Amino acid sequence: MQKIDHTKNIIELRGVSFSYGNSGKNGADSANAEDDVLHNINFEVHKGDYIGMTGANGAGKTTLLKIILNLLKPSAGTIKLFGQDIKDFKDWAKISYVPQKVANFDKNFPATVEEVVLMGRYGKKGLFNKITSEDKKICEKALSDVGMLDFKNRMIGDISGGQLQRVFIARALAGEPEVIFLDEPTSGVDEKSQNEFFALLQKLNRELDLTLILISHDLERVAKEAMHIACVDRTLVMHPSASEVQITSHHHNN
Amino acid sequence: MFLEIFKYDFIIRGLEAGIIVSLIAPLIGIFLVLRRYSLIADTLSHVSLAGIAIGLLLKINPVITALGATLFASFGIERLRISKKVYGESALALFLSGSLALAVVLLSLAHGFNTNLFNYLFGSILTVTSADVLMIAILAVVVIVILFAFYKELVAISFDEESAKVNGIPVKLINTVLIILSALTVSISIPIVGILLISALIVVPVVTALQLRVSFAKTILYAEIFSLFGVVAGIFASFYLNLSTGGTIVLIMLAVFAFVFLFSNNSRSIA
Repeated sequence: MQKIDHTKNIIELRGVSFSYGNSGKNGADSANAEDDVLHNINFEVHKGDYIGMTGANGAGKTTLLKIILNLLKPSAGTIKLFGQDIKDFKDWAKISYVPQKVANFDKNFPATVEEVVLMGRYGKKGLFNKITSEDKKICEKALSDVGMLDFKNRMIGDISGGQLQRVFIARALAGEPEVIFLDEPTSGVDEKSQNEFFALLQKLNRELDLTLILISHDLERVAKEAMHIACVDRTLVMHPSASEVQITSHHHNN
Repeated sequence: MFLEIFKYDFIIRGLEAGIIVSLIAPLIGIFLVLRRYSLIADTLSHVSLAGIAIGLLLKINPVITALGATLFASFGIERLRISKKVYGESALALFLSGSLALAVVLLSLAHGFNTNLFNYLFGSILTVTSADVLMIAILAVVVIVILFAFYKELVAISFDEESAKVNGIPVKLINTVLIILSALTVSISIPIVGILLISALIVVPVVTALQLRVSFAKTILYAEIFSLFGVVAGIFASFYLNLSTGGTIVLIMLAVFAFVFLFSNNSRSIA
């Protein structure tokens, strides 16, 4: 779209459809299937974008996310990540994912905040490479970026939901990604922490030039925060930022 | 008087094997427990009984046939789980009951149960030969080397499998590695605690250490201490009191768990 200084497409989806019946096996004749969960999705993400992806429960947001992250295979269409077909894409360290984990998190998992953030570097390091003091420095930087450095040695089960969410962001940052997906990051987090959290996302987007894709059912909130809104309801419709256009309705029947 | 125990070769061998096994079991156990896979150890131990029955029937060292059977079953369980046509725990139930059935049939072919079998079921350091100690030591080295190589991936997957996958960690490979390591650990634990008590050896010290709510690295360290204490104390107690080694070890471990559980719960509710 307009107003983006980088022209590079980080993510590009063309004609992507998905149905649970014949996922992966590429049923060629399923092109116009009624039971597509997602149908003919075109979607572009540029470097530096901050996209809010909204839609009702069951509209296909999480399915679309899983397709982009290669956890599900589409039944039709092509996906390019950093200009490369997803089937050949190897550089997964460029992409980080903050799961919807705060609400149903195992509070008894035996790990300190620092140990959890270090996990964010494991994929990038690759098999058989040990964690070094350099990795620890990167993790400390990530923790200070999210304002959680003082909690480094606390047990992960002993911090609040809002703090936990920041730790998960720090873990994502520790992999030094270019794009971060966040799946319903504020569920189970109180109002005040939510505000701090969105302020943090703005900072990451502006100061660290990170591309953010935020999945949320909370259209009003996302419309205030993101540059663009992607409404998912079996299909995907892009809208410019809410600061430019007033979004009045949840329904976009195009 | 106390040192009388060290005059007996079988006690020395038992202690050697016991110490090695006590150090290996929690290393695997922590990943199985955190991934809610505790019952895999139980299943594989029942599979190893079928392996032992084959060994007794063919007059091969039963620990070797047990190792073969558990490795074979571990691949089978993983295949069934990945296929998603069978629930994970149903796959375990199939292998657990199936291998027990096979073991019973094979043993009846071999003219029934004998004392030898009783030792394999409940563990007896009397059955540990010096060849066993050597094999346990070699397998232990294999387990530690593999574990060390895949340590950070195992940690990441235990914490959050989906994020690990997105980060490019080869989740399938690591899961397979874990289940193979479990099979190896079960096989080398048989002579010490016996088939029916292996899962206690793998699970109890880890669950005890988890009560302390400390970092991942420290949890492993404490689990090692609890495990070592349980095995060594169990071997001594069973020697002097003439009790079953496996049973004594597990009861001591459970006593330690009960103590830590009550103690740590108190300190947390005060805090």
